Amino acid sequence: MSVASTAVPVPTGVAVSPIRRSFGYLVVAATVFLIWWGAQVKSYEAGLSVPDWPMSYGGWWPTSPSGELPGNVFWEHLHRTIAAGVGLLTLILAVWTTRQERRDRGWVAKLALWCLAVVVVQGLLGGLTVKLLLPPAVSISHATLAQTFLCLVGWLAYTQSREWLAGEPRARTEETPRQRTARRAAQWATGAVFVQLILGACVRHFEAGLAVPFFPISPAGELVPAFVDGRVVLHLMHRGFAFVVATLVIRAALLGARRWPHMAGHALLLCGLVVLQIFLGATVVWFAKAATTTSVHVATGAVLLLGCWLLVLRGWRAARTGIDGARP
Amino acid sequence: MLNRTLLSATLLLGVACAESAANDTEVVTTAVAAVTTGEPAAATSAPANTAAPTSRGAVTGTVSFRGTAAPRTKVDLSADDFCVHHNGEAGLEETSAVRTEGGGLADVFIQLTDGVPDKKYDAPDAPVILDQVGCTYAPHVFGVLKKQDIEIRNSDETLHNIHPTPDKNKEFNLAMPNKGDVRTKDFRKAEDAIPFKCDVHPWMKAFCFVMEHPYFAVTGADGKFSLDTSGLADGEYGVKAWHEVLGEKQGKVTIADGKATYDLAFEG
Repeated sequence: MSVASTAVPVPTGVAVSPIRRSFGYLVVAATVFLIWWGAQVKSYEAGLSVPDWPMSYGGWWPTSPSGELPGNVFWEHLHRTIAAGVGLLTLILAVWTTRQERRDRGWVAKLALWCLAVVVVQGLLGGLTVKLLLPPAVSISHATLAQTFLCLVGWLAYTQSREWLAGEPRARTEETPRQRTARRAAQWATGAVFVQLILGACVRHFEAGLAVPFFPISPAGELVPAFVDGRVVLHLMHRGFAFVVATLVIRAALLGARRWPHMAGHALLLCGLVVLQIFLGATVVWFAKAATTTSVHVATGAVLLLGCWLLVLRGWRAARTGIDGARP
Repeated sequence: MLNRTLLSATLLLGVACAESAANDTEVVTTAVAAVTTGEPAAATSAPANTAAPTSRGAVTGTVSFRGTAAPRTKVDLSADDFCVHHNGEAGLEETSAVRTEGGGLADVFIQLTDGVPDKKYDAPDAPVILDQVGCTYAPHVFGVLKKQDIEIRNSDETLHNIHPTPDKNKEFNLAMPNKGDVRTKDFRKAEDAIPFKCDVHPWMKAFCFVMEHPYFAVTGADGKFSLDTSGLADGEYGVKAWHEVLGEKQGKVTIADGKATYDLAFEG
């Protein structure tokens, strides 16, 4: 595909070692895994299976006499362990990034410190969920902050990517109206996915996942059950807003692929993810909140959010630097 | 004092028997009988219509089940080796189900309602024992008076947490990691059917009734119950029966000379 560049990329002059770059990607992957594991904790209702915090049954490794992590302790204690691991990785990444970036890219160093601050707050929120016996407001905040942290650490990792370092916006290239439209479409999609994830967390923590026990319609052909209460309304909001999200994500993906051809694969992936996510949402109902599908639904939502957020960043970056031939 | 001694003995006997699922009847009924004989009407001025100061008898009866009970499913214990080995090949059947034996319905909580003198009933000194044994609760349904101690025991060589989720009382979640651990708690407000659960072993469920008065009982495996009428005058009383799956039923019973027979049936 032949495309005209709007500006000549100017290399940033910042060097990021492949190890640090890979380390950033590792933190992102570990965070996605942690979100999936956290979803498993909720799916198995294991959140209070370890009543104390930060210790677990008064120690660091609460095994039964046979040496195993019994029952739901497996999910909850390993969630804490993996979370501690992600916290440690984030600390290392923050220190590493701050030391190497504070001169040339002070804002990247600050971003790394924000990641560290958020992961600490997230850990404390996790502790509060245990201490306060899972009040929905705290649990929903914990779930939402996890997604926010993923976006932040994904952003940090992107600033260390080859694509980001290939150019910087010294040329003061202005976005064209069409580029701006594409970027704003990505922003709308990101915002919508974020709202949908909050709604999803509300559905989970207010136990509304099966408030409407059929999908898409009941055997009698109804879209809405005969009895409607707050949980049904919440469930239907999540279900209905999914189609708003799908529309916005697909629109953003199509506009992005058209304006920035080097992001066509990314855009296609988003389209696939949003379709998969709706299908997974249906399976949650069809299989009565089976742990596996429900947790994958949560994790896919997180990946979709990260994908949309990266589309915003990449679009902004492409337009500002003229990298890879953004279309005017 | 004699009452308390008997109470302790029967409770301990009940707990010892709890390791055998076939003996659930004894566990439940002895625990309840103990509660109902524990100083029911002490130290308060009795209203004019409450007379009898000593035990004269009991309301006895059978709660039966009409219909076809769904087969009790086996619990998947594989998440904890101890639970697997302890229960052996027989495994463990779902406790939150219709348990019926010879037509009798187990784990029905019976309480007197209308007509019971409205006064303060002191909680017995002796606690009600809730044991975690074989990765299940014994008893499955039990009653206590307000402020009466619940002694929670862990008889298993695995860790449990004990987590009631009341509406009116204070929720708590306690770690009980070792065999032999004992914790004591009470509830301050009357409340029906407080669910107890173990978040480690999600199949473990029990229900606690926090009562204003001691006139209650729980049916055994054969559906039979015996409710001590000490302190009650003869007359007509309301009765409420609760089953966790089948719901509630209400009726009336007339106590004469301290005794009455009351049978009822749940349909499924």
